[in-house]
Amino acid sequence: MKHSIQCLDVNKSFEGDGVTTTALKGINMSFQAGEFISIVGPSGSGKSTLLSLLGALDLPTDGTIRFGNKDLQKLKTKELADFRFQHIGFIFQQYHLLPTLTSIENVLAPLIARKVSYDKKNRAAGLLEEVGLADKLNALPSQLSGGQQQRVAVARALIHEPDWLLADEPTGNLDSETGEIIFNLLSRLNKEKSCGVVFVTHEEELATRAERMIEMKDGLVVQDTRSQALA
Amino acid sequence: MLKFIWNSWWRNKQRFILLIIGALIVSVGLSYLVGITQASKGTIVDELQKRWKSSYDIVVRPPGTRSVTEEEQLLEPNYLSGLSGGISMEQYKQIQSMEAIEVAAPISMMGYVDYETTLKQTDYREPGIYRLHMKNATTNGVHTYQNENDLYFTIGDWKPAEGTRPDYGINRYEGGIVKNENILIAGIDPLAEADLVGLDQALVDAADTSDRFFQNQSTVKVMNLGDGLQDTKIPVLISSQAFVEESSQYTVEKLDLPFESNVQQETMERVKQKGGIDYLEKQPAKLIDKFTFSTVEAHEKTLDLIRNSSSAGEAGLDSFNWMALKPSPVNYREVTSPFGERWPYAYQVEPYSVPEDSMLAQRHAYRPISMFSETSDGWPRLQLDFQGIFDPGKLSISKDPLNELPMETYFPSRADYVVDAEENPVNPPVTMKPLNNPYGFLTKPPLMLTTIEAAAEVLGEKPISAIRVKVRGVDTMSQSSEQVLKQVASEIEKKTDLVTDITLGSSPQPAITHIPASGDQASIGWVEQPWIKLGSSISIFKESKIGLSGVIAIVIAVAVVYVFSSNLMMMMARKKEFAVLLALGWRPKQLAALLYVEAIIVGSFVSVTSWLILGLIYLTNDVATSLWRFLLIAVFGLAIYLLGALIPSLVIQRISPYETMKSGEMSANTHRFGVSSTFGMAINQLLSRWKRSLLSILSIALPTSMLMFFLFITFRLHGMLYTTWLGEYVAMEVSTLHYIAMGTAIIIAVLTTAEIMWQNVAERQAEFAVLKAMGWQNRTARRLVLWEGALCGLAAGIVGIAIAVAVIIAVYHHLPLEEMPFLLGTMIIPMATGLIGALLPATKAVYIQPNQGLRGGIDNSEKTERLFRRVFIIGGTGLALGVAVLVVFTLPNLEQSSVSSESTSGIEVQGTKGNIQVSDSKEKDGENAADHLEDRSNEEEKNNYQSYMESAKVIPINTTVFNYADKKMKVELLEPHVGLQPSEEKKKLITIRVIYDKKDTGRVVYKPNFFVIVSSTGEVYEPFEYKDVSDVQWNGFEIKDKMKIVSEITYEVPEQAGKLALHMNGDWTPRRIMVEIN
Repeated sequence: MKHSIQCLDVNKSFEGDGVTTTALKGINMSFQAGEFISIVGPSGSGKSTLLSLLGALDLPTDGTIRFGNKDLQKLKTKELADFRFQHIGFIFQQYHLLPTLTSIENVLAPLIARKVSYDKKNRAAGLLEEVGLADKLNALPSQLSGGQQQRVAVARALIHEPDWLLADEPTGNLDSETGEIIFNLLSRLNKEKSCGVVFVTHEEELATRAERMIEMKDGLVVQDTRSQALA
Repeated sequence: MLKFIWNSWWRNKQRFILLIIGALIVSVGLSYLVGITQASKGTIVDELQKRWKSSYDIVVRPPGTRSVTEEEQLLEPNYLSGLSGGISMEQYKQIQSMEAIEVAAPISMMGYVDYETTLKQTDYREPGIYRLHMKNATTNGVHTYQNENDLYFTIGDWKPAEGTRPDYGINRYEGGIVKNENILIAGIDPLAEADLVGLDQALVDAADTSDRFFQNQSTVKVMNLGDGLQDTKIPVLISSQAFVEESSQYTVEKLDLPFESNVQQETMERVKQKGGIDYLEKQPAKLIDKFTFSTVEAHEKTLDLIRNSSSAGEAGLDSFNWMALKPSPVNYREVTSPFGERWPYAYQVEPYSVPEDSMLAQRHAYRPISMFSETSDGWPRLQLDFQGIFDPGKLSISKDPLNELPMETYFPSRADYVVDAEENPVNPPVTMKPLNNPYGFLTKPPLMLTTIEAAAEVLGEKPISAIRVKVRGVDTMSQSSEQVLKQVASEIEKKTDLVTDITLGSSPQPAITHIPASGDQASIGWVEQPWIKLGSSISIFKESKIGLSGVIAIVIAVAVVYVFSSNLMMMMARKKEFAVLLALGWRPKQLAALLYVEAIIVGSFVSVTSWLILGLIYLTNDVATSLWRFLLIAVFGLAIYLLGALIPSLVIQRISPYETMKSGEMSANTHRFGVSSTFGMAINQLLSRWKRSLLSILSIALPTSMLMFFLFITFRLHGMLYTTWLGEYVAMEVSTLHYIAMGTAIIIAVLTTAEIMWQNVAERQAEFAVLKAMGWQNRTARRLVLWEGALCGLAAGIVGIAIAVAVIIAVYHHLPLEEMPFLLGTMIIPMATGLIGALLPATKAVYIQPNQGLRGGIDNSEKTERLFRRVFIIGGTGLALGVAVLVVFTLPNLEQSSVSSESTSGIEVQGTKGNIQVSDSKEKDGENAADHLEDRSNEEEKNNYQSYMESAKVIPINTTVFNYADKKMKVELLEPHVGLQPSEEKKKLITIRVIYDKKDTGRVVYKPNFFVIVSSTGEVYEPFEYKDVSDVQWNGFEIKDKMKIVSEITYEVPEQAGKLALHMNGDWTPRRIMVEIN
């Protein structure tokens, strides 16, 4: 059973050196389960902040983020960690693979010290195969290209079959060709595994190919377009 | 989880090896400190415990008997023998009745009795005038004093009438050859003396009445003789030893004067007319008899008489003895020591003159002459009732030179003649002996003991000179014992108004005394005597206790700080990684668990390693082992790593997964200081990362402060204790240990600093790269990091001094103002620690290439990084080896010193020297390692033609290398100088002129004589001839102003040498330069 995410009056501000920076101003929107969503906007518009709130990497200053019928800010740190493990898969611009672990170990990293009902190794190997890295199971990140590393990251994000894949500039560090591969991978996973995808990008072209495109500016959502309208 | 940890170690080998090095150093430290120190702690405490045992704890003296010397807590070795009464029997009874007092042993130095020994009974029958020539020779070990004396007697009917000696020059003679001696007689309480020193067990020949003596039942009888005269009959024990080395030769001659019975009167009248004794002295004579006696033989005569007194009656013993002379003290004056290094304390004895008409045999005095009265009217008349003979050698008193208390009750005090009057050392020193002189420098101990009641009867009101007190229940050494003694002493003072000194825990302190000229004696020079330093054991005990537990605590604290910062640095380096794990759904607790599991693994590794090291030590050195010590090591090993992980485990849980989103952002620097120099930048850097700066400061400050404290103690020991024999003994053992431990701690501190700075540099890689891209020189980067290290060290030094001073105040209750310059001097240690710690990170900073900044991120596979990790590792291994070497080398010494507790202090001092050498060789090891590294880097530099070509600016010869506003350089190929020839055939000379025209005023290092030619075959050719043809004068390596330096360098190369290039490098160029020569 997949869950949708709702943002209710979400504000986020950062304090540092006596200066308060407001990153998000009263966001109200919902993300339906299985949607393929892009978030675009200029630097500092709050798109990455929004993504980190959706993925429970951070909590809003005020307002509510509701996942299914759970309010995220009411969860304890341990429950938040479990929430991320259960429901969210993350992909970063910098890939953030653990440099000391091989591809398959990286994919398995979320499962360390967790009991799961399935065969971890098989699933990890299967996922790597799915992203086209069947021959790179035992390679260290330093031995992989950027695109390959990002594909390992995608496999890692999928290991526990999350409800949502959240990607922060997943193609930002890649050339357009490799970026295309990653984008297609995400879109295929969205269809096949019916897991929702939210990806932040600054590439308009890529963004418009999503089912739904959210445009942000200065911490506000300025436009929210459905694919029907796009198409 | 385990696999995860293992991977993160194994795939990051440099960090792993670093971890192991740290663990090894901690292991070595632990096994040494917990395993071995405990052993030697035992020996020190045992040793002190042994020294602690002494015959008496407190000595009570009459008020006003403190001499100047006691201001230094120094008691002169002879002090008891010079005291003449002053304590009343009531005061004695008061002290005796005090609850806490076990034994109160009074002693009364009554006075010197004039004791006559009949050496020989003669039986000359032939009438005549006889001359008895007496020749006496006494030695004090240095000089022999001789005196000769004639007396005349007659055999026949004529006898000199009383008082006619001045007329006729003839003495009355009863047929016995008699020797007079002054013997000190002391009153004691036999029971107390039996308790204190086992006097009852030291009797060798006891009269039947001696039991009564020890039951304190001997009676004192006062016999009135009429005319106001009275004899006092007192019970007496006599010593079996005489202590004086003296020999007396007696020659009997018969004068050639007619002395037949009918002419006796006539002859004597003629003698009287012609001047009496003067006339007799001129008369020729015939030898009749000659004999010699030593003091020992003379004493033996007395003893024989006493032994046989019951059978042979008391014929041979005096019927009564005068006691004319009172004991008096030596008066000392402080003087500057001529050998202050060896003997910090020096005194001079006050000389006294002996009146012309004195009856004293010696004509010199070092004590004021004090008589009971001017005439014999006031001299006590004693009848000595001998009860037995005691052997002072059999008394149960300490014969340990390290804690000999003033026992001259039974022995003469010790003195060695060490420096003569011209201040030349006497080698070997001569042991001095007492003379038969009651007012000499060294006096005989009282050879006769009577009861304190007898003393009271004879001397009257205040007969007692001193009371030696043993306090109940003081038998183990502790501060509480000291407390008890202080309390008892002050109670005695309060009750009796007497002066007390705690003698327990005192140790001999060698001091020298100058013996000036007096009377017939010229100045001898200087003698060394073991003075009594009060309270030394207690101070040493305190210090070694603080030291021992303190030292272990500090090393462990430093190790904890090391592990802590190491963990923290690891966390910083892997912060992103942990944030990712959190983003992937790891629980924060799991991250903490990760640290703890790591801690347990490494802690166990440390324990096991320590066990192994300890096992090795036990096997090779035969040291006793104990189970709890083994367990303790495990506890400490785990504790260090778990404690070290404690705070990082809390911090790690606070890492926000949001960190993953903040890629490449720099953390906000809140501290901004005027940054216009590397110094300013360094301060800024340290302040902006103040938490970690604090860590390195703390890790340096802790061992530094303790080191300062120990240095201070050593300083003090030098001042007050080190020169005592016990102090010397203990200081050597304590200090070695402390310095090794603090050395270990400082090595760990270096490691900690290095690790923190390394991380600092690693995190600022981009920053450095950008700075370099903007034209920073390598040495600027190096200077920046070194400044950071030095500043850390400086701060640590200040903190360290603050801690050290606080500890000193806490322990000694005084502000060490005098020693402040010395303490400030020790600031060098933390600064050096900081600098050494910064050395490798600085080199890392130097090797950051400008392009690295543009690539972004931290790339661990970078070749230079690996190289310097290697350097780091080799350095660390060197240090670890050094520690190991230190441990192995010092162990035998340590053992030796604890075994040889019987040996003299001289040998142990040599032992200390041995230790210092060991630490020297350790330093050398370090140097070698460094040299080795340099060699390696040189080698690498040599054979890299290809890589040079890739990384350098390559230009052809005869071109301008660069031409800027501030500098210009040209390289030209010349014909070799006239007269210069290759040394071999098939070789040729290449001469290159390098013109460096520096147009700005700054300084730069420029060493053209180090430019080499490298060949594509990997050869390096150094200059064959170097010629400086500049118009200006310069030092050849540093250009300090606008200058044009022209160098002509000739190289010898084989004719077939492959491709050649001139290789130029240095601070003056941002990149190496290769000039192709064809």
